[in-house]
Amino acid sequence: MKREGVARILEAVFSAVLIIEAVAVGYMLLKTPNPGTTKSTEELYKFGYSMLSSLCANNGLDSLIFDSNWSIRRGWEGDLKVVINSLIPPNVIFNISIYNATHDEEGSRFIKLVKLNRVPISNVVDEEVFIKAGENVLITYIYTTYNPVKDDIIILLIYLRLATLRGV
Amino acid sequence: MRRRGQIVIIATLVIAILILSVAAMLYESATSYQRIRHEYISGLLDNINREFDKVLTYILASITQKYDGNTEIDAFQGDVYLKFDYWIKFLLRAFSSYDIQMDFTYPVLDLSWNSSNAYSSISARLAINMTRLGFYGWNRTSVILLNATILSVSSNSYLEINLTVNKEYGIPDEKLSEQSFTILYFNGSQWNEADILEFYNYGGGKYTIDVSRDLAGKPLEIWITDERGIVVELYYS
Repeated sequence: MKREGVARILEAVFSAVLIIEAVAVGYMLLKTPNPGTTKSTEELYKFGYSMLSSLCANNGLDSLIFDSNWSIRRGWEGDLKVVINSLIPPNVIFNISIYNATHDEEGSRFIKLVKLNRVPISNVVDEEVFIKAGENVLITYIYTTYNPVKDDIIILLIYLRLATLRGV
Repeated sequence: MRRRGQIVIIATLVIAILILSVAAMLYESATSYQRIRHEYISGLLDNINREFDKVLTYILASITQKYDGNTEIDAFQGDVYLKFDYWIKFLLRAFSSYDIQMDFTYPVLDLSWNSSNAYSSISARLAINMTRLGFYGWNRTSVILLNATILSVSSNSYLEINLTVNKEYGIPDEKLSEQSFTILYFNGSQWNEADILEFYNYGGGKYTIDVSRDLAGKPLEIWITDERGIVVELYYS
């Protein structure tokens, strides 16, 4: 009788483990990411490159950053933030930094990167949100354009950081 | 005995399911890492690929806008090297953290103007390895071209010039407007600009431009600037 009782308990425990395991495995296999709300790392990369590519298509970044004389526009950071905000899903946070490539000194062989945005271009105030966020990616993107006023090539280096907020 | 057998079967099943689920998770982790890396590298190379074409386009546009059709092309080669070299150095600087390795040829400029078939072209080769990302062997030769041909010139109520304009790989340039064309005629002492009286875009890179029939028999220069800023000059007499 005593042994039968132990066997029943063991059976019950094993059955419970079996059910929990089946539910867990089933959930893992059936869970599909929703592109509108949840983004895996892979999807975030794809989304980031696609967004930058459409933003830079047909030299779209030129009219955002430069004026008709090819000087830096005042308040371009705010305009870019509005454009990116309109492109990203609600649960994705971003931070974009743009660097302008220049020669280290006049006639120098070395390239220096000068940060172009004077204020952060982001939809979060606190950088720590990125650390606490779920998926987190950093995309490096280059953008080449031509300044006809100076007959010079302008090269920009863009760092786009994207992350998904947990539980949104 | 029968009940012991049940326990053993259940225990075996649980262990089997555990092993299967762990194997599935390991497989998912391994393949998702590869997928993420593939996504990142393909995005990066797509970006470099486009910018490579763009930098060559800008160089060609810049040179052709300064070229008058008579100067030696060698006079512009230094400018071509400087601009391309700057872009290459930038790539090295921007992707140094990936241990980028590059092999490239400097752009070759080819301007063949002053005839009824004229073209402006530039080409260069770029090969890239990114050892830190485990990526090797990206290699591409880019060609940027603007090619124009006078098909016929006939004089009726107007002097009708039929021509065709193509880009690289034979892609017809269909985006040209009346403002893309400047027609000059030689009146015996100097070149003057002719008024374009009618302009037709038939698609497929085919255009007809009508100017005054008084220009029949006079030498003509047709300057074309495409939407990328690349210039080519045709000559007809």
